[in-house]
Amino acid sequence: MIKIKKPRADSKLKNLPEAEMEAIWLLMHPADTETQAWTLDAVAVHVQDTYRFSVALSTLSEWHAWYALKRRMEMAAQRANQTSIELARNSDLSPEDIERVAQTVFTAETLERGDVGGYVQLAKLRLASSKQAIEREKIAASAKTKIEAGLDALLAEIQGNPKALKLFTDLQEAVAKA
Amino acid sequence: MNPIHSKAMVRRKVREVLNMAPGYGKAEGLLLEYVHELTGGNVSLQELRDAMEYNHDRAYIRSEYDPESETVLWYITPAGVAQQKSLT
Repeated sequence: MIKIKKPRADSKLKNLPEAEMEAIWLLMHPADTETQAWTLDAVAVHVQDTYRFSVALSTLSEWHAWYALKRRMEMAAQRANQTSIELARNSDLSPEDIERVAQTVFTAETLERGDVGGYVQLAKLRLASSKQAIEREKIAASAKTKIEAGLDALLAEIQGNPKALKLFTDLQEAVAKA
Repeated sequence: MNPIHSKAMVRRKVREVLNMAPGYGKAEGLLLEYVHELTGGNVSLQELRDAMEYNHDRAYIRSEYDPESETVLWYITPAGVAQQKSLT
């Protein structure tokens, strides 16, 4: 015989439609300051009356912590997504870089106390500085290639001159080490 | 092991947190903070790591190294989402 597990009250609460969960949340956290926030006891009675299942105060309290975090994360994700869209429109950052900035925004937003603007600026600066480093490497590599080309031309010129060839080898080693 | 938190509960909370805004990674330190928020605290870093290892071994969660921030970010996998749904 298959035993079907009865859903727990916390599962029932977490599986309520999003709008219903938000409605319960707003009872506990009214949008306007003049409305009195409902207590856990009052919300437990409301859940019993409206959704026809009883819920312990500890379960309700656990749901409250879960929903608070869920809301925060969803808002953070929304903010991060908006940043991605904004950067995709108004910057020359690559999709990978945009993803990185969005991840930074998400993390900062979930912390609540994070300075998001500062995080975005910081992330942009870090990206800019790594781009500059890449550019510097490219310029250095290109300069080295030019020197090497010059040395090849010089080598052709000094063929048959052992003293010049010795000096050339020393120079070539020095360039390779640079 | 703190007697008020079973291993199974911490494992479930890890998946629960990673299942929130699943497209974004969560670093270990933040994961601990969020698990604390859901359990009322008292989960040690070791307990969290054990729970993460359990979930990782079963491919319920995955990690990705972010070279920019030099941190490892954790994500839930489709298997983890399915496991979480099976428990509710």
